[in-house]
Amino acid sequence: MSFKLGFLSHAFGEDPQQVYRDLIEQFEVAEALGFNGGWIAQHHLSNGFGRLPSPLVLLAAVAERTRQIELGTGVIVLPFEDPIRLAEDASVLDALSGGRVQLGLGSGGANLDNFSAFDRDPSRRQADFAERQQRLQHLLQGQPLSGELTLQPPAPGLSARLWHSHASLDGALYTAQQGNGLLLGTATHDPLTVQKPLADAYLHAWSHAERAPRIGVVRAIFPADSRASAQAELAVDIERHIPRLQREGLINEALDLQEHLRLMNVHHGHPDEVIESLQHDPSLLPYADYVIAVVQAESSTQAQILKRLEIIAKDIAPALGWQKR
Amino acid sequence: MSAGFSLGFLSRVYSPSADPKVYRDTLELFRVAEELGFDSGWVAQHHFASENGRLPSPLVLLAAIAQRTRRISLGSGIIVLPQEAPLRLAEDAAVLDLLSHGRLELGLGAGFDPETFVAFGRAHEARHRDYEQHLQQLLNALGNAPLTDSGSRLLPRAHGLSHRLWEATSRVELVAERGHGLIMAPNPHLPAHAGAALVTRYRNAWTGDNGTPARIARVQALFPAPDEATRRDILAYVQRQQSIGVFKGEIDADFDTTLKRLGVLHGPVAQIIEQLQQGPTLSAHDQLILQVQTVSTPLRDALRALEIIREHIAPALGWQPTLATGNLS
Repeated sequence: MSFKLGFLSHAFGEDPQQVYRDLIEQFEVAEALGFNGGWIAQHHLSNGFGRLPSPLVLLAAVAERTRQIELGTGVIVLPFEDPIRLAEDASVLDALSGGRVQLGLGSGGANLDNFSAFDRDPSRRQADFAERQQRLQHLLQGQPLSGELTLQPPAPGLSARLWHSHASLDGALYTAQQGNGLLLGTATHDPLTVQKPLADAYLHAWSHAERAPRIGVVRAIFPADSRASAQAELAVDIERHIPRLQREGLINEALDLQEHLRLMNVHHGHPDEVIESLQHDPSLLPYADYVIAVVQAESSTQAQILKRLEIIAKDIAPALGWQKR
Repeated sequence: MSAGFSLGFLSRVYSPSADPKVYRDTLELFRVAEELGFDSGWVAQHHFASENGRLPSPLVLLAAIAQRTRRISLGSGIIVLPQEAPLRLAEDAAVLDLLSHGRLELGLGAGFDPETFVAFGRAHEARHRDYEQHLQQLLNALGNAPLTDSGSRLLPRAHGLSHRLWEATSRVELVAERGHGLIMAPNPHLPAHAGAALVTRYRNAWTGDNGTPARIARVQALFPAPDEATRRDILAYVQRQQSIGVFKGEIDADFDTTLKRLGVLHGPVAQIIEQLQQGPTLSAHDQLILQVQTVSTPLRDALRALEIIREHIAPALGWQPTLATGNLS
């Protein structure tokens, strides 16, 4: 089964200006390697590690530097957005980039601390998500808003390039009902016990005859010369997350690095080991229309990131059935 | 205008249709303007293509333009602040400012189009109150104030951006107290010399508390040789302004009177220079921002107008390019 190949960046780094320069370069390199898309996560305020609150602004810069690669958001925290302004920004970016936008949306489960700054109530985030997503979708479809007004510029086709990231069965069913793509693996969810049931439920519930369901699967993929060198590159960053992940109940054991990497779904090692590991991932290849690789941890260097992109495009993805465009 | 000033242009990103070409054309306008030595380029925000303005997202387009230019300042002229989520605006502006190496000039206004306020679920009559509220939130975020109980702040930090804010409003004392630049366009209901009076009031109210100089941006339309299409566009503009209650009273029977009322500069170069010399005096921190397009102006005519301004008009007013810009061919 063939799939699109993408990468996802959380825009980690110390100096935001350098982070943005590096991100633009990652898109240029990924495009040259044949990647189908690059996705950027949105992180708000200073309490996290991500440095980019405005993916669509950055992607407009990327659009000028690239020709073909798709420009994705993975994801935009929808409850913090005015759906009209978001539709406008996405539509302008889509026009600027020749229709390359893939718009991933989330409800902000990883941003609970920031709701008050945006004057939103975290306990209402699912309702806010649904209300805004439907409004956004209507606008993108060209339906009138109030009176005669419709979205300007119009966004032909963009409403068929929306994605939801959900962690619940209800969310997966809702995504199918809305006719949108499903993003899996945007947070630390077990591939077998959490992600696979979501994917099955989504596919089962799909009832839109005019287009096919689509699943994007995000995976941490850290190839290196050997398993040992991959682990050495990752150790600091993984251990940094252990207390938070335990606190959030996402991992329930504190074992050694090896085990942490397994629990956090980090596919790492020599390319052959990564290939095998990805082939055995129960919710990846059997489901993915878009395989989206995370290749950056907080302390990764730009050289490491670009090298990982290269190994993925040249050695790993082809072995999994990816066909370069 | 004997002292130097900054020379800019304003594009309202007009187009009779929603063809994405209007964005490429605007990019080209910035690129050429930079080559010509213009100091700044400004784009207006229009929602739902009101007035045939095709750009609802100035900061997104300016991020693309930032990749195609190196030096020219990137202005929003203006963003309708009551219709923005102020913290999201602060984030987008801070990111763009970093992407462009500090070239953003953030122009803000209260807006006027009643229909778009309905669409955004905002009361048109409350727009000045909303403007003040959103401005405070924006300034708070840009000023690195804590935004949550746990002390989270805007990221990226917006170094220096709060010194590059502009406001388009007749309440000039407020603008001066806040230490912001004043964007002023001709008021069709007041005689031409009213502008100079506003500038005096603004300068008198200036405190200099934020360590920046008072600064005005004088915005005017300029058409060296307005053809029939340009005249039709301007008339349609005035008729629309009248229909939404922004232009009050009857439309002048004589079109030249309308042009004069709108402060549209036209005719022989010598006449344009003379008209510009009659306005408020511009000095080193001020900007002269010229709009050279109506809805149907082809790109080549806009580029030609920029050349005329650069070669024949701005130098006569005392403008000098800040750096050598190479040849113009």
